[in-house]
Amino acid sequence: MSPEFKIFNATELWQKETSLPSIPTFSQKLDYILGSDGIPLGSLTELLGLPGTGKTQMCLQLCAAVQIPKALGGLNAEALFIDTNTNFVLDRFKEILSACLLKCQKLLNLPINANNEEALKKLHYVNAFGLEKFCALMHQLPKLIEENNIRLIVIDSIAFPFKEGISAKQRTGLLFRQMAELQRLAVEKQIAVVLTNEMSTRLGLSSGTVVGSLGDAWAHRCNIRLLLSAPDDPCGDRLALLLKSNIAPEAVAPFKITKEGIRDVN
Amino acid sequence: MQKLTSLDHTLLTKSVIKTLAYNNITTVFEFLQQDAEKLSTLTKLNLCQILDIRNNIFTKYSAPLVDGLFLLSKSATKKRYIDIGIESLNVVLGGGIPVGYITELCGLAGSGKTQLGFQLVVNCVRETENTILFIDTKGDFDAVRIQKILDNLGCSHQEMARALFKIKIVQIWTMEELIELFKKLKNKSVNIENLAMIIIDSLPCLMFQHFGDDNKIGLTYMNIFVNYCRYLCKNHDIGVLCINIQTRWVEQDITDYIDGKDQTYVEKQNRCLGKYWQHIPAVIILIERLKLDKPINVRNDGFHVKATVVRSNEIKLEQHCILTVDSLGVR
Amino acid sequence: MAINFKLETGIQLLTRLLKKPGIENFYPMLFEKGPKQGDIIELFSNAGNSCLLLDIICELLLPVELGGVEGSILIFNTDGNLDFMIIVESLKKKLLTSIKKGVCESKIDYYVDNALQVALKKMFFVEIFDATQFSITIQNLESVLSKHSSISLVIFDTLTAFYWSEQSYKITKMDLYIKNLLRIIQKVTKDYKVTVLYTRPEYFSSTKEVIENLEPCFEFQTLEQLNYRIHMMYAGDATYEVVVRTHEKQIKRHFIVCDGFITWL
Repeated sequence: MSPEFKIFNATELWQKETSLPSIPTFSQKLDYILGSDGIPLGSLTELLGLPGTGKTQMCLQLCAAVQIPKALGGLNAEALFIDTNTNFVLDRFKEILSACLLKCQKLLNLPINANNEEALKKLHYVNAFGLEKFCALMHQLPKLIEENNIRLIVIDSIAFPFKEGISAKQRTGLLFRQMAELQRLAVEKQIAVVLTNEMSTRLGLSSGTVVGSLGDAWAHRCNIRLLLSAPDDPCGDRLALLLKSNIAPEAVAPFKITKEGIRDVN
Repeated sequence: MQKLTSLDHTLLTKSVIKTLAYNNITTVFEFLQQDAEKLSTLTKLNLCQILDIRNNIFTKYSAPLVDGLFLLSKSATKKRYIDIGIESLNVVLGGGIPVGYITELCGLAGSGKTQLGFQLVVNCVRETENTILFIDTKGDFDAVRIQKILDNLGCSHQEMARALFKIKIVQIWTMEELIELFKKLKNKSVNIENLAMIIIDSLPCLMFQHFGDDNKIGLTYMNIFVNYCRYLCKNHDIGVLCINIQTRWVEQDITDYIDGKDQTYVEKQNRCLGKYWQHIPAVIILIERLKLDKPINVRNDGFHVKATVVRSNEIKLEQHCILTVDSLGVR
Repeated sequence: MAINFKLETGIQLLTRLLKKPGIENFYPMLFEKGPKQGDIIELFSNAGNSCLLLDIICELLLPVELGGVEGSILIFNTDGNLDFMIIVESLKKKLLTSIKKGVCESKIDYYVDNALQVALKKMFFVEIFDATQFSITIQNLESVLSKHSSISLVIFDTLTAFYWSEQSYKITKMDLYIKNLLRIIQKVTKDYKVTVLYTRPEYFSSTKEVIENLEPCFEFQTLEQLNYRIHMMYAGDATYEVVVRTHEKQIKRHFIVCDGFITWL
């Protein structure tokens, strides 16, 4: 607890906010509806959706996008991927990363460099299976961040560690404590935080039976909530619905998932 | 409870305090409860001196009495409400956010609380001398959005710069930090000129961190926070707006089984933060998103909300108004 | 056998012996013939509405001819949100309705203002912001009551404001907390023949069950015991239900809120 309180005025914050870029999703339409041309730094962004709707794919895309060089308006930084439920597939990330690097090199008129070893090192992967391991990791985060230029933290998924072995009240308490420390770090070091959440059913709610898990209290916590859906018709578009945002109104953007990653629908 | 220290009287030397502590007299209150003769014997101070210490304590810690006429004369110059710039809401509030009290803004997720909070921030600093302190507990404050709202109101660059300067933001992540901040505001080690309102977005983010704890320390923190809040409201002539959330729960209506009919569910809303908090705010603004068939005067991305005002300290029934929330702001 | 002698000043002796105006026959809708000097009245509610308390305060402050009491009242304002200006506005409204009859238009304001001045002279306010200040001010009640001997009623709104801030590892039961406070208060108010009215939120009780299981009221002033227990609740359709319990009976009343007034049904 710092003895001195840093009280900013809105002008200072405005300068800070406009001086740093967001992390693009590689779908321009989605970037547009987010209101800040991508996933903003310092905020908690939650990706919701049923299995197979592209949450992990989106995370992998962002892990590649964080590496975009400054010359293209990127952060030229590294990512930390916290895996709690084994959805991470290294080969898939390599594919997305290659496509991203290729695109950047073409745009900068640089010679094509197929060696991605250096780039791969910029993704720090940690697995945290089980509640205990997850809590221990969250506790060590500040130290982990310090040693690297990490500008994106992904937790896939935030719901999984809390599925059992903890009461609802304790879960809320623990989650909110962890999020407070996480966001403190994120704001201080200007890091984007992306969390994936699963869906669960709650009968009788007027807004529909399928809701994000972790409860109503959790629904308030994140600054941005994106609901991803896959179409019933295989030829249809995938949709990203901006459910909640502190900076942009509700909107929908179509997107698709290709071999190269997240892309716009033509 | 305030502990007895040498600051309370010159006669209360370290050794005197030690003797008293040895006899289980550690707080100012315990000192007052003891028989004066007994204290004199214990501390080797004479009765006069003990009575002098007692008087000092009374003068220092006792609250002053004021009579009704004095209050009436003082109230003539006091500002009662903070004009929040939204006419219909001002009316329903009886003039605006009340000065001297805690107001609560409460609603379900996605009901527009943060956007209304932003609009209030903008409206209160614009064209006034007011400064606002925005206590951000969840990283929701966005200066770019605030600037856009100012822009939408047609402010010149100069006006915008002036307004933005008067909006102060501090990030608070735990209840302990919140209490520390308020303590510093009370003793003026943190000073904000022309402070008119403090907005806390949101209180549950801090209080939920204490869920599942057996030792109830969360409630102790909340009480201490409320104490500081009330002090600042009354003595610094400000209003404090706390954002609270609602959660939903479903009650299964147990009715007689009628052939072919399913269970009926009744959705109820719960105002969070617990029983202690329920009666703390003097005014509660409940915000609820509406699904109107024909939205009036709203952009494509907007929606309407119903703001219901419940006042606990007046003989008045609930009143409400309808507001519009969209990319321009809230009105 | 230890005999306790209490030192008393001349002023205290006089106050004790002089006849002090009480609040008998006040607000008969709730108290019938009472309350007697030194009685303890508890008012609790879930509705969060202190509209009943507001009405009681206004009625107390009205001139004696209009049903008010002779003595003054002392209000401890803790977290009850009592608003002085709202009290003034309610008083003015009540005075206006009573004075209107038989007074010419132009003089109404003058009479109302005058009556308001008289009424506000009967009111003393104390703002309390923390537990230490609360305890010490209560401890100081004796000197306050001897200085302002006209005070015949002390109101605590609420009595329970600092409970949580005083709990640490050991938690005092809520009922015991109230009793401890009452014991300290009664030590003084008994001698000075002062009635006490306090409010608490409905949840603030060690019994989580039905109201009936709360401790009974006593007929005479007994340490840590109540003489009146008043429960206010919202009964739907803008109607409030009030149940008053004493040692001998239980009365149910209803009121509605209309035009800023409480109208008893």
